[in-house]
Amino acid sequence: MTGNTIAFELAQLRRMRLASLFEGSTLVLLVCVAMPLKYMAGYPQATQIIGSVHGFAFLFYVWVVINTVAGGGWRVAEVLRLLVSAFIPFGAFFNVGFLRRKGEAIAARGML
Amino acid sequence: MLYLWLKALHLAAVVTWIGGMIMLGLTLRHAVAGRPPDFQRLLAALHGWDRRVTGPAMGLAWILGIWMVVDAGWLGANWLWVKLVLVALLSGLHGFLAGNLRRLAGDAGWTPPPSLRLALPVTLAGLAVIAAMVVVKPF
Repeated sequence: MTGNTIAFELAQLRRMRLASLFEGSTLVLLVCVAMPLKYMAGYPQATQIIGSVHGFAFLFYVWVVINTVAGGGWRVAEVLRLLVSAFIPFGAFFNVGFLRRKGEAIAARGML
Repeated sequence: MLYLWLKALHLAAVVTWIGGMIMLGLTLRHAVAGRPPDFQRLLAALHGWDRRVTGPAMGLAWILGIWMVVDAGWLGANWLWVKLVLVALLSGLHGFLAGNLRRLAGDAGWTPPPSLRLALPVTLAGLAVIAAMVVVKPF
């Protein structure tokens, strides 16, 4: 175990936080902006555009989750939490604190 | 029909060839850097390349691929479903490999799961079938 381990894993957790925020923001935009525009204001293009962006953001997020947990140090319940939160509007924003605590715990004990 | 199978094999061969050349280039760039070869440093360099080049290339392939599907109206074609499942599988495998590489680059004591021995055959077989699906579109 070297100092690099901690640096690499903390950098990965930062990327994971950004991917989660991106995914969560596009989901909120889809549910709170694009869908009302489609069903109440008659702009179906809104869901097409935001939906596509969210689709890519979701795939990217799942990819980053696989990448992150492949490095080890994650319980099954934690992985499930990361995946389930992607389906719940505003769920990603609870991930931010969770991932920060995870990073602080790794940094504090100096290992995964 | 023969032409299309030749084209599919050609595509799979080119991707394998260039992928191998990138691997050689990365390894040798490390060896000619003027310091004695160091396995951990080589792994860190591979990790950097994966984040800066391979990962973005995968993202671009997804975006351009889906764009092509929508533009050409291929959604719902059987060959496309086979291809999409394989692309999802290979993308997941890439994430899994990249995560193990990151950990190994920072932690020489890390032992990747033995199942990763299957990564090379799965990648090559996936590439061959994907090339056949997208070029020949057999069903």
